[in-house]
Amino acid sequence: MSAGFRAVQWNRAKLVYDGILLAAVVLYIGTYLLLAYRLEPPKDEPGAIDLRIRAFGTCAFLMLTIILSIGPLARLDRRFLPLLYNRRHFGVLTFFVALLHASFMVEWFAVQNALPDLYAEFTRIADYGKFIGFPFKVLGLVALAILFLMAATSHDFWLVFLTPPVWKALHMALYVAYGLVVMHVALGIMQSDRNPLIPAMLAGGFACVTVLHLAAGWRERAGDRCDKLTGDGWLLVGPPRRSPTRVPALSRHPTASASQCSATARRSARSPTFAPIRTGRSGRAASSTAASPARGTATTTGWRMAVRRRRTPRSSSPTACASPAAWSRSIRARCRAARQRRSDTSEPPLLAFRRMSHTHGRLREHACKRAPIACGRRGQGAV
Amino acid sequence: MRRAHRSFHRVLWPVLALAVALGFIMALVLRPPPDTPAATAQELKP
Repeated sequence: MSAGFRAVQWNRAKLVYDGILLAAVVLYIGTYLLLAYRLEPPKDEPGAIDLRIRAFGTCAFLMLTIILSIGPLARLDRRFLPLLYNRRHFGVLTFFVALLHASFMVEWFAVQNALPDLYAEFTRIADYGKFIGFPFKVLGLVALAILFLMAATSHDFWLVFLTPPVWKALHMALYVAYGLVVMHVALGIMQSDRNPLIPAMLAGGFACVTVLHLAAGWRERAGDRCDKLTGDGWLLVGPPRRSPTRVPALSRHPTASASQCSATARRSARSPTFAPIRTGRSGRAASSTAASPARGTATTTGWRMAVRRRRTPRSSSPTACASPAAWSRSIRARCRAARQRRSDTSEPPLLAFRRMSHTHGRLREHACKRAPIACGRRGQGAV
Repeated sequence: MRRAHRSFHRVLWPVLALAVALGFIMALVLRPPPDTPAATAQELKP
């Protein structure tokens, strides 16, 4: 870590986000305990601890459900992007709520001098072969360990240290943790408590998250197909905010080859545009086929920077084509070359502009400075 | 998020959803019946 390392780079938006988050958690747990004490007051101390276990457990489950919904919601609709901004604090708070849930469970055993029972529950090997009667606390413990891993690495330092692809792959373990939490509740409290709200909460939460993820994945499929088809260094992004003057003209002339690529953007943007990304093998292969001018001819800072960063001469921006017809020929040639490459080898093209596709914090801002028009839907929607 | 991550997402979520749904339904169906106080009282009576 450098001398300039800061644990949290606070700003007003983060303070407001965290304030709302904390208030919501306190409100939920307070309301839960108040209602529970009013409706059915606990008879003894273990009963009171049991209420706290339930309050914190349900709160952690709901928080996890919301966290997992934010990503696909932001990919489906840009209005949810503000929720994505400080999601890592949301995740860290969820870990602490889950940790309190676990600590109250240990306390419940401790006040009854029954800690050996807890130990026996974990070490009774025969129970691991059962379905009903499986030591469900183990599922919760594994989920808590995953949450700890997520919370501990929720920092820009770890993002840079591990590299964004590895960091993202690591944080995908949260999906497994969510499944474990659902089974922890289903094999635990749902077996002894016949309250219909418990299965309703579990099924509703999990179904909601699953549907959102499947819908977001389905919607992005067309874009990924397009990337494979025209994998020559061009990536479809959102509406041109600060685009070069020729882009609107070109986007009014989508060709047959480009129409498939434009389908995704048309759903969310008025006019699609293309932005450069650096590619490895595929980009070099495309240079021999594309009918476009030499590099360095792009018009804006973003284009120029991206073109200059290329190590080898390659096809440049379609915006630099002389006419829509030339651009159309260029796109067709690229698609033909991409199909040819795919048939030649099964090796996938290398995406080298990795930092562009990551969302959080400084990396995206840094990339945006270099290629302003490339900060479209793909960059912001990645979670 | 890279294309590989998105592809993994698309494979993972259906599998995870099926596995969890199966486990949840089994847990719901196989859970023991509730204790009925009346039945317990009848059993205790001679």
